[in-house]
Amino acid sequence: MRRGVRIRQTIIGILHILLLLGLSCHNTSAAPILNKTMNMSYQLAVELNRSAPALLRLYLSAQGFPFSNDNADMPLCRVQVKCLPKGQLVNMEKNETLRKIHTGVKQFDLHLKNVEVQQMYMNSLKKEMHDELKNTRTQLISLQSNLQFILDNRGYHVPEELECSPEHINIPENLFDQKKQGCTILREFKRYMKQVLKSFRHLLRNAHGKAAVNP
Amino acid sequence: MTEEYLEWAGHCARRRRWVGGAMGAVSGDRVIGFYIRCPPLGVALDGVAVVTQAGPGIAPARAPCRCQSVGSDRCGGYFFLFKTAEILVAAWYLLERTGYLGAIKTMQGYLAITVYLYVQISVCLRTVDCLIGKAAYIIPESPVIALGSQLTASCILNDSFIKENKVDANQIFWNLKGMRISEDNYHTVNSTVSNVTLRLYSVGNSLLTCNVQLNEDQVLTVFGIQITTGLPPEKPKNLSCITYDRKNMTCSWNPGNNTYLPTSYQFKVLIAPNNLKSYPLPEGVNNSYAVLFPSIHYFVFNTIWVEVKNDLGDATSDSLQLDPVDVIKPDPPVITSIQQIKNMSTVLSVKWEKPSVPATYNLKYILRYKIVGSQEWMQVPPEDTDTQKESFLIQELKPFTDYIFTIRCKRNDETGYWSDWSLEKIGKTPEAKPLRGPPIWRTVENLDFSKRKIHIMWKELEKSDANGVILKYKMTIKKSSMNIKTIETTKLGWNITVSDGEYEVTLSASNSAGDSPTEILILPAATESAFLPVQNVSAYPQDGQLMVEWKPSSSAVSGYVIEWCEESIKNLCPGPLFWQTAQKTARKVFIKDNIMPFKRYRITIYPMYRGRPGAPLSKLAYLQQDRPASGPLVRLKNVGKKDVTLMWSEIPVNEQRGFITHYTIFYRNCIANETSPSIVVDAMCREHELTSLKGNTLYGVRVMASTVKGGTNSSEVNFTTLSYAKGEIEAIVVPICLSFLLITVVTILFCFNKRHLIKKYIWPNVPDPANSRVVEWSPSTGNLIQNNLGPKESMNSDGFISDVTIVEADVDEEKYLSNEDEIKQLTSLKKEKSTSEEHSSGIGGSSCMSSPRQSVSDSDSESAQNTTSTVQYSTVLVSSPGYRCQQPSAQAFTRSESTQPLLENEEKADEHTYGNFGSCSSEVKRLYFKQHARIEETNLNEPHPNGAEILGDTNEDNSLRLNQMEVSDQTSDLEGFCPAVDSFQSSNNQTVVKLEFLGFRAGLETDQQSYMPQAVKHNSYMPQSK
Repeated sequence: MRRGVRIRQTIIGILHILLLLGLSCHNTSAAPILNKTMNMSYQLAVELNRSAPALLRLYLSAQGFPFSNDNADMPLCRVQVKCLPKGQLVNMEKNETLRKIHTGVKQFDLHLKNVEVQQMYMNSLKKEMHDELKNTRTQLISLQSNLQFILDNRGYHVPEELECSPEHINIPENLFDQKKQGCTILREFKRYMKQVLKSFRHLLRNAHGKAAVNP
Repeated sequence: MTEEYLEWAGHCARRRRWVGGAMGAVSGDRVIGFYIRCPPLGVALDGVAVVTQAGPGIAPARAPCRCQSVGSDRCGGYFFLFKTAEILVAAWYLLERTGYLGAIKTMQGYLAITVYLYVQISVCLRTVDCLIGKAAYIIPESPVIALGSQLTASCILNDSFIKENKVDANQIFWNLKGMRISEDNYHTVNSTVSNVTLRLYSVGNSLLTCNVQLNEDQVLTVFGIQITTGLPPEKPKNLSCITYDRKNMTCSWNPGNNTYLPTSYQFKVLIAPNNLKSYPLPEGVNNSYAVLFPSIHYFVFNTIWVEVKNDLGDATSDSLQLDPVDVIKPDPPVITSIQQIKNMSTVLSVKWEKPSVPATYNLKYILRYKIVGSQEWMQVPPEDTDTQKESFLIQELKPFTDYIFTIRCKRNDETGYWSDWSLEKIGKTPEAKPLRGPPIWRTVENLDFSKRKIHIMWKELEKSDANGVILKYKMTIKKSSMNIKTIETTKLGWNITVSDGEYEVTLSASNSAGDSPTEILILPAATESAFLPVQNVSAYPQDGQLMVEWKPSSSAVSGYVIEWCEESIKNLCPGPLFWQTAQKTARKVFIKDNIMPFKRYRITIYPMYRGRPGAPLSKLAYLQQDRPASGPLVRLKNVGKKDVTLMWSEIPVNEQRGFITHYTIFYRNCIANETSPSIVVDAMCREHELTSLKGNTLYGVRVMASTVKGGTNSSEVNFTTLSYAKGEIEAIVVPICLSFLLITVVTILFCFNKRHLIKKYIWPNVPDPANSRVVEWSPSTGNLIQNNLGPKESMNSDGFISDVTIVEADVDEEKYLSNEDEIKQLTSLKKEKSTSEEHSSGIGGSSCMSSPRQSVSDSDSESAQNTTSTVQYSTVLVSSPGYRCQQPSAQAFTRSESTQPLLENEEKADEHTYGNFGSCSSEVKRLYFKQHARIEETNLNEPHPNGAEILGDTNEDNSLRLNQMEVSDQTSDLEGFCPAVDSFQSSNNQTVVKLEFLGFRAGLETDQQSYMPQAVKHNSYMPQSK
């Protein structure tokens, strides 16, 4: 009886070990690419965090008076814009954080797309601003791609559709209002990217320790 | 062929709309080419142009069309039709008539006209189709086949055409590229279809036509297709990318072989499963594509591949997964400044700006620098610059030196590429004190017994030693540790006159940072002996410079001074003196300056013993040698019969252009044109003797002076060897002369011994009538003569003949008669010959040398005449009565050289003479002399010792005196004789007295009877006086 129990326990133990080995092998094979993707995502966050203020400056300077004379904290850039990411990114489970970042990045990408179209009509000759808008969107798309890859690999579902998509928000017909809306979007984007960067630092710190995170 | 281009409507499949284009037509031809011009919209289009509504005989054509910019790209193709002229003309007219050409230029008008044209042309083509009808068609209509693959085409005849022309498929034949295809390649399927099987081995387009033989003469081409041959695309290989930050990401690959077909390339980038971007390559580009910023996705995996496609197939490259950040080649950094650090002459601070890179992109740098003009770069290791700092302090530089700096960068994690080097920037370090004193040297000129003129000279410091700009030199001259003179100068030399004692010269250089250490030169006392010289000095060219090598003689040497000058004259350096120093450890050194090739230099090395020069040692050297500029001057020292000694002078030093190694003598026989083997002699020789030459032969000789680089000939010197060697002539002449002398002596002695005999024949004694005994024997001779001569031919009053010319003396065998016997013998002979020979005595001959001669009367008168014509006259000058003594004298007997012919009356006179002889045979025969000269003055006045008068003409010219023989005659002696005297009157009234010589003497010695004077013809042979 005892012998049978022992044998059973031994077999279970062996299976346990095999299972752990298999899992570890599975994790180790996917880990480098995920780490790499995570690191690239962090660097994208750094880039976006650096480019967002520059983009806002370029945007403001391109809009003319009064935008060009004031900073982003002015009341002009505090209008109501739908479908902006809400809430804090801290104190969440890491995959949830990544999913939320993914959603927020996607929303901002669509917002910036609207701004890009608006600016195409309003300031088609402001090439530097257009390039920076385009570049920012490219980085946002890249970040989305990285986050989706990570989440997909972790088996975390990312919904295809947004709950609130900026594609469907109302675009003011008044150009000044469009500018104010754009200014608000970019201001929020700048603020949001700061949070994203902090989140990534937090995530990476937890994953690899401080040394693994670039400042 | 004429070609027209018509505005046309093309169709781009992707956009599904009609765009503006053009159509090219070839009038009257079956092959129509067209192309679609990109629309003037500035919108990129991708698609395939298709002519969908082709008329009868028109093969629908397809061509890929890609338009990236306005009016730049176009695509085209071919299709076939019959009677195209009507179709195209109709289309063209349609455009013209509608006037929409101008409207095409606008967006709205463009769209309107394209739609309109589409409808119109479709209607037109359909109308034409109805009007024209089809005779046949080929399946497939526009095949594209791979190179070498097989194609089967069918020509199907229209039923109406068959009925109308009464033909069937058996009359079909095929042409490919205008050449008839062999019947083996096609066959008739039925009455309407003919199949052809082809295999094409050339790329490009080929026209295949179906033809019907209507009758023997008439052929109709019923249809044609265009076959396009090419290759399927290869799989692109070696795909790689490089990112130029904020510019582009350029990917390139190897497209493989040419397909010869329109081939499209698609560059694909996949960011996420739902984010695929496809970039078609522009026409003509097949091996690279650049994704422009800001479409480059950083920090995400980009999956990149290339798809290629044509009518024969497609291919896809291997995919490349990369993050564009990892393949960034950053722009080079920009050096913003290079600054000096105060009080640090060996440090420079370099600052730069990093290029634009992603924010998280950390760079490392390579900073390199070098001295301006140098080739060797020094670099700061990348580890030292792998920080966020953008500046660096470079140390251990040389003071007061220009440095060039440049920098490049790369991501610090080793991914990506190094940037290009930045633009160079130059910085200069501050000044520092000179490292050492200037090299110093001197020349000494002894002025007199106790004074020397010293020229102290020094060189500028090398840049590396000067450490700045030298502002001045400080020189101090000491004697016995006492300062004599201190000089500050900017010059590089100083002259000073000193005594013959020992002096010490110190020199230092100063710049803005301070003074250099001093350099010392000791001028030893004139009487002091120098220290040991160096040993084994050699100098040789190396690497285009002159290397001087030596061996030190002492370990106490503190350095060396190498002095050199050009020796243009032997053992003299008239030019400037050059010098340089060498370290004490140096054993060889390159002479740096003022060395020219082909010049001889005298190089002197002085070892220096703590500033004190040692004894010098010199060596001659050339930087580069050449053959001498001229040959030696050759002279002949001695020329003999078989040898000659040559001498030549040394070539001037400045023309030697190298060390003379040897001389070569070339000589040749100029007459036989034989060149003798050359002779090589040592360079020290200046003369040489050539031997084994031929005598009396012209030779040419040259002397070639040679260096290691070759030789130069002298001018040719010619000489002729002697015919006789020295002494050879003497050896011949002396014996000959001696022999001749000996013969002469012997001859003289012989003559001396035989002098009587010679005298007898050459200078016989002339009997002197004065000594004749006849005078004594017949005192009345004068009367007799007087009587015979007649009154007109009176004798000289003295009866003395002063001038007698002997016309002929017939001596015959006459000898010197010295005794009576001989006289008698002669007398007897005379008597025997008296009738025959006596008559010839008056003509020719010398009184002593005439030979016996035939008398005129003895033979015939002609021979006598001949004899007279060659008679020689002899003149006996008797100026004293010496004749009486019968002493013949050379002075009294002179042979006449006259060849004057005898006068004609002479012979007549002979006749008279013979007559006289006949009538007066008892008279003593006498010789008569031509009497034409005057009588000597002295004789004229001098009475004859015998009292006889002198006969002769006192007025006769003195010049004739020597031609006459003076005969003293005593009138008294002639008395009692009957001398045989012939006288005749010459043309110039000269009277010739012919004296019968023979018997004249005999008459003196012999009996009187036998020498009785013969009868003398009257008026002849008598001495006359004018």
